[in-house]
Amino acid sequence: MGFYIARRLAGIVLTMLAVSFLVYTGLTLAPGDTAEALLGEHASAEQVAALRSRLNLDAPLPERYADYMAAAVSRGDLGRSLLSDRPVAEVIRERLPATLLLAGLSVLLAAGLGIALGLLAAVHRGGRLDLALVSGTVLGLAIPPYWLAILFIQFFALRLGWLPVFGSGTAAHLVLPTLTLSLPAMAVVARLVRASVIEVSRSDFVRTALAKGLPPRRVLLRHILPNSLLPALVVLGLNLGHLVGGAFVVETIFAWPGLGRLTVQAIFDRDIPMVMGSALVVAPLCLGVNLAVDLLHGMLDPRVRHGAL
Amino acid sequence: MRPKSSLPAVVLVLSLLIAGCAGSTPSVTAPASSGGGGTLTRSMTDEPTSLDPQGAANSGANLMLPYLFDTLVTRQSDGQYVPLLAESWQVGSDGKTVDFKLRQGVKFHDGSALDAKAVVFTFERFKAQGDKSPIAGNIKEIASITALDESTVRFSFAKPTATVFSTLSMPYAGILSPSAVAAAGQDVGRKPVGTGPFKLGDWQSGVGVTLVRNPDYNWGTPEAKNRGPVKFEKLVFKLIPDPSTQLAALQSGDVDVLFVNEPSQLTTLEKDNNFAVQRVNLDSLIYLGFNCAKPPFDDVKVRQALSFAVNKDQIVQTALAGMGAVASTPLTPSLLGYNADLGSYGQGFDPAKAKSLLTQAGFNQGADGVWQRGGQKLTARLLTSTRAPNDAIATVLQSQFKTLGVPVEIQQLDSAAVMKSTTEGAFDILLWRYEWNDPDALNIYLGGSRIRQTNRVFYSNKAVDDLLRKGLSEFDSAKRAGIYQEAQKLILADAPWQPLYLPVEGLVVGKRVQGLKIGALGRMLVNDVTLAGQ
Repeated sequence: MGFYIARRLAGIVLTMLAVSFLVYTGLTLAPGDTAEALLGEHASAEQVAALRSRLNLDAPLPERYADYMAAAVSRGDLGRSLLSDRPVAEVIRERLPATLLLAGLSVLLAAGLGIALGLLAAVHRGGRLDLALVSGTVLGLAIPPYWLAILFIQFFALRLGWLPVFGSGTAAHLVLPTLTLSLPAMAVVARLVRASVIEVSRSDFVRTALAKGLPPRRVLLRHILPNSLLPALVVLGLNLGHLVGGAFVVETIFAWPGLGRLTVQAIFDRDIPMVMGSALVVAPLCLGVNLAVDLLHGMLDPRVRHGAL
Repeated sequence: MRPKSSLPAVVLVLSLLIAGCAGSTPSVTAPASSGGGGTLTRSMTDEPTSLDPQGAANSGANLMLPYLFDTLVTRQSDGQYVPLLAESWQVGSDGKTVDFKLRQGVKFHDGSALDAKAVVFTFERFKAQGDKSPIAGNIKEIASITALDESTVRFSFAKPTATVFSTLSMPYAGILSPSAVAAAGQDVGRKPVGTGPFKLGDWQSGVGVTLVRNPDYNWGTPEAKNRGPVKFEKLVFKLIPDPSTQLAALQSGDVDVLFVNEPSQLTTLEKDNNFAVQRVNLDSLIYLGFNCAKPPFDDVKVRQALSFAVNKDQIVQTALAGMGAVASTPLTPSLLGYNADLGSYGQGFDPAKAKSLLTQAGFNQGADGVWQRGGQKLTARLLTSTRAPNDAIATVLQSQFKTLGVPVEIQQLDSAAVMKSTTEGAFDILLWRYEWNDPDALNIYLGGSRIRQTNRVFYSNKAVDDLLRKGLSEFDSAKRAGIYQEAQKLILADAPWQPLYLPVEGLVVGKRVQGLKIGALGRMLVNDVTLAGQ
């Protein structure tokens, strides 16, 4: 187990290096640099050149990347935003909690409600409830979050007036963004749980359990369900990246004060330290949660831990 | 671990993840405090990068700076420069100096007094470290700033510079409090202290900015009736990046003011009794630029021919659904030297003329209808940014050029990439826009000395350059206007640009808001605003 974790952690470090290098070079090689993006339409060539040299954009790419990473790794210094001059770490500290709250709640909701609905559908398989739930999951997967968010705002906020249109601060502000963000993952979980509950319930050990006289409810919750959660868990872990990506869209629509909008704007502004800081914080979080999910998976399924799968 | 305990484990890990972030929940969006005159709220698409007027500007900063800082002079919506912090000025006989006499009794938000030293400090700081500012180049032209006495400041230039008023009226040229700058250290961008009608109240990253009325204000722009403190207490800018959410926020009453450029939304709002809708002409020009250095567009006949093929009415009606006014001159209506009649020197919609010009240029139409010369087909790549409604306009233009017999391929990039491509000359036709507050715009975008810089179309005409140089040093308004009119005639005939349209936006205001006006460069003037029910 210790070796497994060490190997995975080493993998995370390598992935982080790759992420940081790709983001840095990608942004640097994209046409147009910070000086041009910043000074805009009216800037003369001298003005652009002067700013470029002050921001050290003239230095060779490997040198700039090495400098940035050396400061980031040795001192935890993510640099200052090229636009606002504020320390990147400070800006991220302000915005990250909101994104984590939204993404975390969405995972919880997707997992909790997804499992419950999947189980419900499996128990009533072939019935009307099953049909309704399965159709619901198809819709949940098919509707783009962007459109769904607008529908939610129109209906729940403007028509019914139950919830705020946008913003943050109260629990009510969380409802629509969380729902929008969790719906696709929830649909996937529900479908997977439904399918695997149906599959597992045909296993020999279930027949044995029922045959020895255990109440069907107990068989369902203690024998079938735990064995049906594995695929859903794996998919949730894999979906985490999508969730963070989705959070960027959802944050923009609901004006949620997270990292998403900040990062997207920083990309347009070619604000390299800001984008890098964002990537260096979000990527290990995703990788870390993925690792946690895999470890859980290992606990649930010893075959994974021992490398048999 | 046995399978039966797995579900609690999943829940535990996830709740830990959430508990980790729950501690620092962002606080409530600024509540509308009703005490003492109420709150006017508007949405903003981008958060200001910095409220240091000399720092990097973006649309959020542009919105807010005029309320926090005053400039020496201000430009009215009719294009006239009028006193603000300077009560009068005197241009030296050689045109190389301008002396500004400062208004007495003006105080910064921190209580310190405005004097000549503060003005000198402001511009010396600008010259030293304002290299991220959009007007950094203009500020560099100031050779020296000196305090002649307590309340008089002299700006000196190496050569006569008539653009001084335009430069000094920009929100970026707002006067800073020297003591506040010293106190803020590296944080000037988050702690702006000026003399404006509002002070910075609260700035929550990702949420919005609240400005609070400056009760001592009594040096407002002459453009407003009320030159004293504004009549409401707070001006709130809520960060709402998505246009559809901005509209919903207006409908729910969360914001009072919204600029709308989606025609269908505007029509809906015009029918809604809760809002007053006003169509506002924006001070910018959308134009088509030809790469004058690249064959065959280096041939004036080819540029003219393509210009004659453009049907601007159709663009405004179909691509913009009426949200624009057809333009025919390179200068926009609020600029000195604008004259709509000059359009006759340019190219109106005339397909027959377009064809005859192509024939004169040695082209003939092949069997497939495409024009060609020496076996070479006349095709073009139309470059523009991804910003709406450029895609719709480009598509209409593509079909208009196709009708003429010139296949056009559309290339859309983000703004930074478009600017890079154009300075490198990697395009045939450019769909682009400009917004500037001085007719020197012609020099910036079409002057021979600015090629590969801001002159993106590689246009160069010595006669035009001479006129533009003369215009730069002419302080007499009437004479200056005449110079730029002459320059526009030459430019229109050379057809480096085909001016397309001036954008129109709908200003939608909640009925409780009275007295809102739009000033120069689309600035929202709130000095005369009263809020009903307060």
